[in-house]
Amino acid sequence: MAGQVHGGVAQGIGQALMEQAVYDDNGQLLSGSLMDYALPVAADLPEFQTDHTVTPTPSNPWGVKGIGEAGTIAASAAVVNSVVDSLAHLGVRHIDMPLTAERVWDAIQSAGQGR
Amino acid sequence: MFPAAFDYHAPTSISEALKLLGNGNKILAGGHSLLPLMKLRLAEPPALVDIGRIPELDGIREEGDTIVIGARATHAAIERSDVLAQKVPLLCQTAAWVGDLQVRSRGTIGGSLAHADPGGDLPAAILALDATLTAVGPSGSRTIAARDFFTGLMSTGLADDEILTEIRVKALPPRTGTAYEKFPNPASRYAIVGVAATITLGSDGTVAQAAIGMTGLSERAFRASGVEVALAGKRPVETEVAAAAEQADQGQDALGDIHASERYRRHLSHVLTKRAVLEAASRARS
Repeated sequence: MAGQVHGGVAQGIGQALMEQAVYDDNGQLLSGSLMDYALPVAADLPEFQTDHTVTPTPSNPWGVKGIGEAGTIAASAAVVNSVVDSLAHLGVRHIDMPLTAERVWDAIQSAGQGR
Repeated sequence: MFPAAFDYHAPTSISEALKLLGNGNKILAGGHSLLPLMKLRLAEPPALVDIGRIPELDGIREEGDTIVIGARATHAAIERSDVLAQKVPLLCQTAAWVGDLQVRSRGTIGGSLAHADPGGDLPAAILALDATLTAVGPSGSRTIAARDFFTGLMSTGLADDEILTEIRVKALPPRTGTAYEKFPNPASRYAIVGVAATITLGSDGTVAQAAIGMTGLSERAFRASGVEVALAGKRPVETEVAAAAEQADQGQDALGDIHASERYRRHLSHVLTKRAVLEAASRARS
């Protein structure tokens, strides 16, 4: 289960910081291979510490639920919120995913100009 | 995708290899720039000439105060080389940033330089070091200065019938520090911008010599001579270096793509130049 959470978190971080399908004005896919579509690899990610609480669901005899979406849904939101929070003092309110370095830089520049 | 059909040759001498060139045939060293292009069918050479069985192309040796690096030396071998770590650490520092562990174990300095990808790391270092490159062709061998080697987008001064055989660098003088700063493409790990700096300090602690090689910003790697001139005689402190680093992209047409716009690349060139120079200067002092 920890492994599945790790994988979900990796995907969530990838969506928040790296992954984007980019098309040009003619509808041509520009991020058409892994040379251009950025995926997180192990070296991009920190060590994960996982913990859990246990609340058996009443809806089946084993009290179990699927874990697949917990890591991936929560991670993207946590990462984006954390970045925006650390830039809030500069006036940044929102940045679209993925938060590439250039997008974060643009957000900082624009906030400084009161946009 | 898989590559278009090709023939494969594995000569055991330089002269045998030279006879196999021409007709669009490409030299295969580590293959880690060429093979991905062939798989995307951006390159379709009729034959590959594998130079992996030619012993003269391997190795790293000293000749007086010059270090001679065989064109087939891998990035990993350069990274680990004791003689380079002592005499020309910039090459170890730069090679450590190439791709990933697998790429460094197969990719070669000669292949990287001859391929001249605008995002390759080593061109920045060999420009900063004023290296000389040896090319062997049917009419014999000649040397090409690093400054004359990179002529355009993925173009070099090598003729189609020549093989790059070795790269020669001089041992760095005393009171010299070096650094390579890179902003990697998050997908391919090539350099969006990479800056190689060698800084030699005078006895008064000011910059006596500065060499700044830059890759990734434009179609070909170049020397940021505007920065070098601005640093001469200055104390290598934050304010002076930041001001000099503003010259990093002067006179250059910057690339722009989905990973970094032209504007952001120019910004990166200033920031990475400042960091590389400060790091190199700090190493020069210790």
